Amino acid sequence: QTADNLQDRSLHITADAMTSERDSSFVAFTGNAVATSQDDVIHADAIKIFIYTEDERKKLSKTDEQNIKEIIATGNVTFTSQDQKAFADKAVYTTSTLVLTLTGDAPRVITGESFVTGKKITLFRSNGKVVVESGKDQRVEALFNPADKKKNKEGE
Amino acid sequence: MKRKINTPKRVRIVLVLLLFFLTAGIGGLYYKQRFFSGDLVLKKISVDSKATLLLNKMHQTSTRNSIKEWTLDASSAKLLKDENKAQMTDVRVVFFTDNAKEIHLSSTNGLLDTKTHDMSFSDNVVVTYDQYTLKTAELHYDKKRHILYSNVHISIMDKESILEADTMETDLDKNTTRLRGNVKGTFSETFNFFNGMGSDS
Repeated sequence: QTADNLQDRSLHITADAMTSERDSSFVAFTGNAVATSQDDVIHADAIKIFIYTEDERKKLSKTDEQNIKEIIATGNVTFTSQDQKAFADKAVYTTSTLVLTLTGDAPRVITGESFVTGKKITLFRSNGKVVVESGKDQRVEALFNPADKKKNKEGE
Repeated sequence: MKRKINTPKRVRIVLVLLLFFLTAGIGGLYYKQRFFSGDLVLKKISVDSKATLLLNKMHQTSTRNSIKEWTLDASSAKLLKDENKAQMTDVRVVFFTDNAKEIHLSSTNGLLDTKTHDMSFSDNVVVTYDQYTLKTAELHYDKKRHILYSNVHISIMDKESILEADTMETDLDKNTTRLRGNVKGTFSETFNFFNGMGSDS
């Protein structure tokens, strides 16, 4: 049994190094870290996997067997999912809400030729909604290319 | 006139003769075996000049502050005279963790430093803990630093997940595990990183 033939399992990670500290309830993958789950891929300098603590586990519903609470990627973060691509300094993915939050200097989401940028971008993976927030010194900026809409229609 | 020998004297003579013949017979047998069998040839004796002692079925227990840390069993152990080392085969070790759990280790070869209690295991090293299994070709236990480490490829797996890397170090006091080099893992949602790391002691 090797990592390659378990490719379709829920979370696949590669990195240069990994550190797990029991008392801190997270596992850190550092150095060219790549996390893949079905179609979603995150590249970053470091990816931390946060595990539910015993107390948090008790609050979860019985049917939820998920051990992973949150995935935090930092440093040169790239997130790709099918035709969507995002860039940020930091990305936080919460498994219970399926929400991916991008922050940093100028997080940006690109779909085809269109893009949107701001201070904070929230992607709701469950319904595809995207919320972009501005900051004191960072207004929301967006470019929508009609060609992308036509392409999406042809694609559907 | 011929003197008649009375009965007690006759019995004594017969006993003396019997004793004489018995002694002669045993002596003859001894000399015959000595002369005809030729020099005694000792065949296939290998003298291991380095070994002080060769044990079969060795068992050892290590305790720290009167708490049992580990027990060790081996089908054979050769104590090396000057090196304070015991070379073992078919090794099975049980480490006892702080929270009363056990980590089981087995390997084809083992080397125990009888002075420092450091240990090295090689060839088909398998460590099991809860439902997790670690496999590698070499694994070392440094008693002073209380760490387990391997400088060759290791894999840690359970039924649905697997984690591989070039090297590993587990600090048994700090409950920390570090993997380095080509870290690759595939995890099911239920994989518990900490139990999987065996650093629950």
